[in-house]
Amino acid sequence: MSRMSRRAFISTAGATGAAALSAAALGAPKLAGVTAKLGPEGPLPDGPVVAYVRDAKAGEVAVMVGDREVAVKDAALVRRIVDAAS
Amino acid sequence: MSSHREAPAISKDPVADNTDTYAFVSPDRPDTVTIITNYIPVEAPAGGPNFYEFGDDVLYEIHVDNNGDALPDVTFQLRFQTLLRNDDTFLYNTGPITALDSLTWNRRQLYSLTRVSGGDSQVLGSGLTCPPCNIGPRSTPDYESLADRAVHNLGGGVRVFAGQRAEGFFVDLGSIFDLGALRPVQNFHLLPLPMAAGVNSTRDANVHTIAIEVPIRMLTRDGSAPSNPLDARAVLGIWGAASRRRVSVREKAARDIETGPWVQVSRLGNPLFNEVITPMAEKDLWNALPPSQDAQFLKYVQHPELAGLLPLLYPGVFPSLAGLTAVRADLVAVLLTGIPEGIVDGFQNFTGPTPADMLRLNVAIGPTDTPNPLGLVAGDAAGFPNGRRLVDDVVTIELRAIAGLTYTLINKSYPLDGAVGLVTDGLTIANSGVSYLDHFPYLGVPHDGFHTPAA
Repeated sequence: MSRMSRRAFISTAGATGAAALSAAALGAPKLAGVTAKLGPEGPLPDGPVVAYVRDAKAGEVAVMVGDREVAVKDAALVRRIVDAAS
Repeated sequence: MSSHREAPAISKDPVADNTDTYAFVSPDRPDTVTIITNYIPVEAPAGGPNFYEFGDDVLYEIHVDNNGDALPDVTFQLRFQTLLRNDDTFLYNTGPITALDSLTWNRRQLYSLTRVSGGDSQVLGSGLTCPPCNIGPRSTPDYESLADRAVHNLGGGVRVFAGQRAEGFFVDLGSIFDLGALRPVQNFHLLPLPMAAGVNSTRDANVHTIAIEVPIRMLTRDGSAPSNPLDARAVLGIWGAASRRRVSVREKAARDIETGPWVQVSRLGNPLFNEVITPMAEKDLWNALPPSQDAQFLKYVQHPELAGLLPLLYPGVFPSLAGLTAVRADLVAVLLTGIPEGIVDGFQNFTGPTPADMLRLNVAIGPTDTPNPLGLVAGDAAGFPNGRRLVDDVVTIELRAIAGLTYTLINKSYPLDGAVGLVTDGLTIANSGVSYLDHFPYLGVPHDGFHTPAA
């Protein structure tokens, strides 16, 4: 996963409550499992983080934080998001 | 409003809709350049209680290219913040607004101005006040004086103003968009009507203006103030732009979230470019791209649709234009590259081969006391397309240019149609009803809502 870890992505999305991908949508057990696996990686942002699946088949997720857009490629993450929404 | 509501997407987003950009050597301070970018088209002066204002969620920018690559070398950024003083009233003001900090003025805007150049960012001013909109004689009793106090001197010779002004662009939109009719010559139209005087569609409208006055030395590539018009350092490429965050999320209680990088939604260099050159299907794309990527629109300048329409709409009036199938290198020069040395004696505003829609201002050409509204084509090198002044009649200039007038600059043997000199929408400074100030910010005092429209 480039530039932003999966853990940071999921954690910040859950923390803001404003992300397109929410912790509630993912389900607590899955989120907890990922967090435990990757461990802490720096402070969480104060502002909102918004993520959306740009191309599900390509496993592409775009994450917006502050003035930045981070492209994430993770087919497994996309699958969990899609499963959570189904 | 030479570029108002000119593209499908931006027509639904007026606070980010860059309607006009002007750039000229300041007539009363010729060691400076004044750049004006206007937003919010066709403001109805009585449009309360939520009167017009800039967008807090919009990044407004003025870009200057000083080395001909069509990329910004100096950028001025403005961000706005709206403040509500009284949560318990629906009113914009609860009494006369006599000062920029009047307690009776309920909804104010402040802004910051930042200069970005060479990777460095410098805040030139913050907490700067906008004037209120011009409500009427009870609410804004001495508007001109009040608005004058919203001209901010920031040191280093920089001045800035951001707020409502009277629309300074005049055009007969009603006729032009009715199948290309021009009232003074509409008796020659394919669907003729009796000839008539032009009607200024924007006569009673206001607009929101960002105006900055900057020393020439702050804009040129080497900090010089060139005096020779043929000096390449004297030419500046200038355009305005507005951007929004990539993502907006509608949240409860209108606590919307905006995040992600800025994405350009509007831009404007030359008047009418996106309006009448770019096809409808590509107008939104054009607004999203920087001028440095305008090569993809080159073909629309080389063979403009309007040049083909004029002979069809006015049968028999433009026989030479009807037969002109060559690439319009004249329009490419005027709109996309600047005019090279050797075309007009003693003049150039060439920025190089990169096709890019920018105003091109040669700062070595000083202002004139008697500006000709037809600008360069009438022998006044201080006017459009050398930058753009408020008085420049860009509708007539561009109509005549597309009708073939500027083609004679590159092909002396081209038999210019006699009717080209008659092409006009029938409006001039004299009959348009607009008036300007003789000092910064130059655009006139906005129409007030009490008297406009007139009883």
